[in-house]
Amino acid sequence: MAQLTEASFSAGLARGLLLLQKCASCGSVQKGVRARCAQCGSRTMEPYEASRNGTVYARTRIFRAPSAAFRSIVPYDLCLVDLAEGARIMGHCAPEVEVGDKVTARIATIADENLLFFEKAMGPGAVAPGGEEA
Amino acid sequence: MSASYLVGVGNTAFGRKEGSSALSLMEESSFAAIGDAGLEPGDIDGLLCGYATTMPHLMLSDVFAERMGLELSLSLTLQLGGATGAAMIALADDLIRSGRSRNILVVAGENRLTGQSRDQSIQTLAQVGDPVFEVPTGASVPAYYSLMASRYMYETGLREGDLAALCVLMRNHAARHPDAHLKEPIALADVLDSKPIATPLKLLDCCPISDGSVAFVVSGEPGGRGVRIAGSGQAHRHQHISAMKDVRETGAGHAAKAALKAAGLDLKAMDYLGIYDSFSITLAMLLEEIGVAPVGQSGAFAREGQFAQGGPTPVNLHGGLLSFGHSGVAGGMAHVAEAVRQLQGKALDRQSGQPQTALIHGDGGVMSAHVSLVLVRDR
Repeated sequence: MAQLTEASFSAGLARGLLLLQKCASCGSVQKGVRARCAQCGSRTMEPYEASRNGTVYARTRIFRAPSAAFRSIVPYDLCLVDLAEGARIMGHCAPEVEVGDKVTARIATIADENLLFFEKAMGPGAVAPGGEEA
Repeated sequence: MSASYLVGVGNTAFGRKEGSSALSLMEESSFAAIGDAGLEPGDIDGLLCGYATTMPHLMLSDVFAERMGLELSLSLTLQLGGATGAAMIALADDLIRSGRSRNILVVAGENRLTGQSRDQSIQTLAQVGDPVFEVPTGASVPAYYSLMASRYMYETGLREGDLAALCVLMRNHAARHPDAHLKEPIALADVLDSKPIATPLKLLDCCPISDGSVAFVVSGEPGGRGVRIAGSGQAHRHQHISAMKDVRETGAGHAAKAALKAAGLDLKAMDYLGIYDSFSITLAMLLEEIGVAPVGQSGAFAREGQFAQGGPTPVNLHGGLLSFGHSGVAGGMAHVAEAVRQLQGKALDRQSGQPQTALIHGDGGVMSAHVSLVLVRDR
């Protein structure tokens, strides 16, 4: 597989995959598309399919949407999740999800976008609910 | 030159200015600043110009110079979000002290309120987020700051009532400034009961969108009332909130320390504070990371009168972005304008003692770009 690009992240979501960049030298998973590993500075990256399991770092409920598509679904919940592999990623979440919760994501179509949707993990060893909607 | 000085200050009123343009507003504040400095337009040889979202021109500084009839040996437009104003002053200081320029006009302004629809404005601003990983989720600038607020409050115990206290304080201050956008008094309950935007932030936790402009003249000659730019410091650690390492260590503290070190002064020696406040949480986090208040205590300090006129460390006596108003780059420059007037003893009803030192802090993006300045009135 070629290097991860912004386009391949979006294309990955459309295919039901959470594709991120992983450093080939130290194994760190990156928070976005990076020219150098944020951990060790290496320029050698490889695509990586992330687990979709993590811990909620931050969350908010949006009442004022920035576009017509999202205005039709207010209120909705956004979160930042620290994935088990270390990268922090933004997605939607279920209303009951709080900061510090263990969560797992599926890929859902929301306001015509393919987005991560995080829900509370069922317990130790829980796996993501199947049935990608994208 | 061994030092540079803020020798002229000018601003338009902030708020709704029908029929204005970015250039007309910049013109008004620039003539006021040049006049305040006791100079003529022909004395200006350098121009630093902040971007305008309502006029995204390839070379705004030269467009403006042409309109003003300025012939310059240096002309630049800068873009660093809310930190742009402080960064332009820091750069002007470097350019003056290096001998590159004699008198630099620093200006920004735009008709952000009347020059575009509210939706356009919100969408333009949302682009400070990552276009692939963040913006498609339906996030906006309030969303990024709300996410940050949720984490900061989880870690520190800061409460919504603490944020509201800062909003009330800014409104009290704006009430005494004739040029402020929002002057009607508000109570804590008004903030807490205002409509939700993105939890935990409500409408009154967010700054308004305003038309307005601010300009300065920076010179190597102090003139009669020049305020010395004694030091500056910066920190740039991330652009997007997804890449922010620690909500309690965003770089603000580092930038302030660097500015204070350059000035050879301690934080405790600062008589006046001009701190960026795009949202209530912005002001709380900056006050606490810089060390003005202990972590989680900025609201308590505000309630105790620490930051008020006549208090030990007054903050944003013009009313800040939250109430004086936010017209983009100029919104952050208004903090500097008020600091200069306080140091010069020219703040009229808002004057708070005879301050000699001030710390300014500007933040761009989502606590992404940090620029601090130390200003000193030599007596």
